[in-house]
Amino acid sequence: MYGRFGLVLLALVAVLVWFLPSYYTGLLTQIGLYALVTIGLNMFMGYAGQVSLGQAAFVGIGAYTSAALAVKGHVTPWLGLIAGALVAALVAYVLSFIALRLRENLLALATLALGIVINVVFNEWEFIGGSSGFKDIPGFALGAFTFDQRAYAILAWALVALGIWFAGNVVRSSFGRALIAISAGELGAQTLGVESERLKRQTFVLSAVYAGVAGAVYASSFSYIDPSSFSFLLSVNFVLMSVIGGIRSLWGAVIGAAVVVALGQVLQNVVPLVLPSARGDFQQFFLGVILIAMLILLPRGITSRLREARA
Amino acid sequence: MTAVASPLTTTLEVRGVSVRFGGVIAVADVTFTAHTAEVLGVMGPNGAGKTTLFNVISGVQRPTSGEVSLGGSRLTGRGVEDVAALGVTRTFQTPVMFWGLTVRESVEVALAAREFGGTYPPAPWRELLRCGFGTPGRRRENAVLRECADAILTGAGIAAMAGRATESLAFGEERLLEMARALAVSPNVLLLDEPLSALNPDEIEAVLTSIRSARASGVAVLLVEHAVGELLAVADRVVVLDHGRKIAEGSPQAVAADPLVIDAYIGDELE
Ligand SMILES: Nc1ncnc2c1ncn2[C@@H]1O[C@H](COP(=O)(O)OP(=O)(O)O)[C@@H](O)[C@H]1O
Ligand SMILES: [Mg+2]
Repeated sequence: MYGRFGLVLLALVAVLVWFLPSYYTGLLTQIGLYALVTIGLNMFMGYAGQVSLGQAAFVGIGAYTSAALAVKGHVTPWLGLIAGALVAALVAYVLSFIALRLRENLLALATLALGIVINVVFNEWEFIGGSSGFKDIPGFALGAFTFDQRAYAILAWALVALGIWFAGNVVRSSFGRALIAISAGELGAQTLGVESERLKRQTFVLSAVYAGVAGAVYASSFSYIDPSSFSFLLSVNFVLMSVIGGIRSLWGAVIGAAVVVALGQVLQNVVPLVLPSARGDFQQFFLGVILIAMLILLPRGITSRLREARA
Repeated sequence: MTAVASPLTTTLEVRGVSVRFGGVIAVADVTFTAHTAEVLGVMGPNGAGKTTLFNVISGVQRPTSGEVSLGGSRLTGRGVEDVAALGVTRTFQTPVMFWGLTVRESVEVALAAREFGGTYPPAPWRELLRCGFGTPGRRRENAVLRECADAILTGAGIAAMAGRATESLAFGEERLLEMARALAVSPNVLLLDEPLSALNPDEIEAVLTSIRSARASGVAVLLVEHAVGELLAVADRVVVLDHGRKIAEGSPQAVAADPLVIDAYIGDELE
């Protein structure tokens, strides 16, 4: 079902890009990439019951790995994408040995610290461009065809389709049931032989793969990255997308990404009308207010309300 | 039932176990053994240290001193999952439910661990990929798990609950599910912490039936229960704790007549 849903969205995007102005095609790409990250995050937060405030770091690692390989080593972004996913996975794997031992709120802090540390590395490491990052990152190509805006939107949503299909299989399998079991009653599951730490580790690494893939595509599609693209605020936005859509929902990840990107656009256009002196930070402030309102009004996300309406 | 008398085989050994919480000595130098195919009652007034003892055996709580072993291999120092993989599982005084799963799915969680040799997920990564790609092999295994789960629910007398969300269960139904889940891992040792409390007569009968059939299949059942009548009726032997110490051990009749035991219970009621 998830697979078919993903293909329908992909088909929709593949049609839409021929009619939308290129600015909106770019937004579609952005929504797709954010949705991909959020699908991964939802497995970790919604199913495994953990918290991550550091997903932007994995997006950044994917982006920087792919960009560095392409710019410095003339490696095709297709390989860069795989490398980006692998490096993000490796970092998540290593971090998990420290972080997953921690209780939930400490895990949130540990992932937050990861985001900050990785950002410092991006800023200070001259080999990967320091604070100015990478410019003119080579794009994806298929044969003689170099990707344009439309192709990136289609690529992003093809990855969403693949990602939601895989995640959908996972959450409805023994693996997904074990995740739900540990999030509801960790000790109870452990006394049945469920290796909760291993489950959480594998899910965390999987979420990093989703983020790393999104980052690699992001780097090539924007052809420019710098450390500020992967700040703590981006991590917060992923949590926001996750919560708005409903953390234990894969469709919710897509809805959440779309809602947050759309809200960002609205705020960008409306806030200056109301508060002429407001700067970019105000968008974040309003997104924060909306998050709090969401948590109060729809604590289990938009999709939970849809499910109730159907039931 | 076959009438072949099997010799008593020691399976679980608890040796000199003490647990201290700050100034409180919850369990004090407790030693006993449990045999295969027996129900060992663990009695004692509130606060006697029964739950703490179960926590030590199941790996939830490290003892301050002493050790627990199963069939000669040491359990103390292992994690809860590893103790479970060696065949020791338990239920909780307050049932732990897997909200978000149905009754059948909850049992499938236990079965998956058994299927893979005691712990789930098995060897790193491969299982995640098989689940994610929905390989035909994994799908066949899912179908088998489902059938096994239904068989277990039928055995526990709760087949009618199979499709229900665990959130919708009444307290007694939660107890029955938790018991079925524990039996699904085919344990060697099953620790039941007050499995009868707050159950109606039908549910009590269902739990007692499950306990007897577990015993018949060779499980060592350790039973903590406040309903002394039921406990003495189903137990083969009884260990009595009071203020963390073992004050008596023996047949249900002997223990019920033991003045020390009577004192402990009456003293508890007067307090
Ligand atoms: N985690 C803990 N921290 C401190 N004291 C505890 C803890 N768990 C149990 N105790 C104390 O240990 C004693 C035994 O408790 P428990 O094992 O729950 O008894 P029972 O199950 O026989 O009623 C009690 O005095 C209780 O207050
Ligand atoms: Mg107790």
